[in-house]
Amino acid sequence: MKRYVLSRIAQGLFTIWAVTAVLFCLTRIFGDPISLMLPLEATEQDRKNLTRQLNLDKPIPVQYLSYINDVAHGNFGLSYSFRQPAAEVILKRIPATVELACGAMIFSILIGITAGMLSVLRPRTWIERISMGLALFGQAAPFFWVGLMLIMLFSVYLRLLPSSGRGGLVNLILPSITLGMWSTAAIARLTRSRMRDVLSKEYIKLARLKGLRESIIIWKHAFRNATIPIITLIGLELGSMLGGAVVTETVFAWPGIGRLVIEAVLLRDYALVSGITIFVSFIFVGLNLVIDLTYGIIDPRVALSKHRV
Amino acid sequence: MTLIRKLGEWSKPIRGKDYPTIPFLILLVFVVTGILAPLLVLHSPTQVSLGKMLKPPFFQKGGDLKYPLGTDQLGRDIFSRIILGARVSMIVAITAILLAGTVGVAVGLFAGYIGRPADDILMRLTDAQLSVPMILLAIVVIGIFSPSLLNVVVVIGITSWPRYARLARSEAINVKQEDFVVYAKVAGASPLRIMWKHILPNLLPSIIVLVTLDIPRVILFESALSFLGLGVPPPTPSWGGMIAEGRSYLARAWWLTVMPGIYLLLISLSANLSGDWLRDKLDPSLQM
Repeated sequence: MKRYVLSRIAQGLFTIWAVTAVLFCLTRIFGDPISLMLPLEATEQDRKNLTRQLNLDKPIPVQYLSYINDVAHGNFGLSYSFRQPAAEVILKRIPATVELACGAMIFSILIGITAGMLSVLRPRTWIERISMGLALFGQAAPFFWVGLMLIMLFSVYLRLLPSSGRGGLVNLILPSITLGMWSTAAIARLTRSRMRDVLSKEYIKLARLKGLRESIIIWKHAFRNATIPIITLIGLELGSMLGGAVVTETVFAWPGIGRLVIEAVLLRDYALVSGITIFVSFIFVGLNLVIDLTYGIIDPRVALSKHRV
Repeated sequence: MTLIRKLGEWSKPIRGKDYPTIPFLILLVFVVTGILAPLLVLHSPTQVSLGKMLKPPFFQKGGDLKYPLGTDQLGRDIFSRIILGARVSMIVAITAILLAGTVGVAVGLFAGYIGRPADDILMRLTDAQLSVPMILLAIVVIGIFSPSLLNVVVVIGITSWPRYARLARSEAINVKQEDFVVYAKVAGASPLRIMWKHILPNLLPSIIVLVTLDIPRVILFESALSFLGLGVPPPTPSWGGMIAEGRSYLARAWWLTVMPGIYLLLISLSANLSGDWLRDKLDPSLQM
């Protein structure tokens, strides 16, 4: 068990290191950060000063070590477009993305599990058809386009909901649906397939023979045993949402780190781009780690298996 | 009720045939359109014609049958642009998947057959890459190297190869324990020959299934990148780019965003249904 924990942690650290290494190479080799940061009237002396200040005149290995040191202490460098430390800019925009991810997650869990359960409890009826049809749609449809269609319907034509921006709860509705679409479909499908697996197990048959009420059988016995992989999926999707809300934030002009990445990339603000990427990787890796470890505790077979999962 | 049942059945066997006819037909049209694109356009998709801008589709008032799906803000025919966009989507999807598949399967096959320590190293790399959200990785890389068709293909290839690697590896581990592999080893076959001639062919069914399930994902990924402005650069039409351009006209000219999206939706649904059918046919145990 301890080996499992250590190996997973080591894997996570390796991943974060790999991300920093790749980012370091990409940003140092391509583009000249000095020219970007200096105003047009800068003199040769200004250029030299800035170079020395940013340690860009030192050999590459030294630069790399100081970079790693900075990152480990939470210093992602100076964002030239915001004229603030990159870390501050990121921290200021994180809450918006967290809010969006939570909204989308709540939507996905509620609708996804409901759809999955309904299709299992009412097989071969129109309910099942519609639920699985929605699951197919959620997975296959271009979610950003669906978001735009929702805006067209609810904001432009019906004038019921705001079309963009963060604000009250009403602002959260359409973006959550858009971001949560894919996860809803995935959760619905998984719930359905897990419930079907569990309901065919021996202990369910025994419970029925015992004469238990169907609702207790389904909820207390079947559902509880089915949920572990579903919870894992929920965790993974949450991480995905935190890191990948870029497109949704663009559609709804949501002030989160997704849109921040796009802005930073277009402005060639490499400190900010690196900072966001490392930050998001860190969250993603951390979340996956927690999920893996929790799964290992709940289902010890995972931890004891020799083969990598 | 009957309508719902009918709609639900469009993906199922039709009249005794074993396969989902309509999705296949749609995909066939997609491929043919992609290949023959320049011959099928009605007007030049890049020709700006300000006198004809924002014409609605032919069934709406003010519409013209010559521009069946309407025109955009620069007077370009939407139908023709959609057709060329199909070509872009197709090229990107095929090339990116070929790239990702080749690299991924090679890595996975090698790792699975050779075993430790190469297996450990390669799998750590694979896991590391899977731990970064794909769209973020794509944005950063394209942002640094600036958008172009080649870059989009490469980036999608880079973000997609780990899945193939993982699949190839787990299948390779299974296959390498089969009798015929052992016999080949005993007979003195080199590892390369065993991997290429004995193991790889047995991997193909699963890989093919993964490819068919991956196609819609890649098409949507490319359109999302184009939507963000990081895909194929203008004036080349791409569905994502068209949707992005149409955003400002959502209230006055809905067809700019709706039309490309409908095609995207149709192709994606058809590809998904076909992929599901193929998976059920070839290997229903594949939980993908």
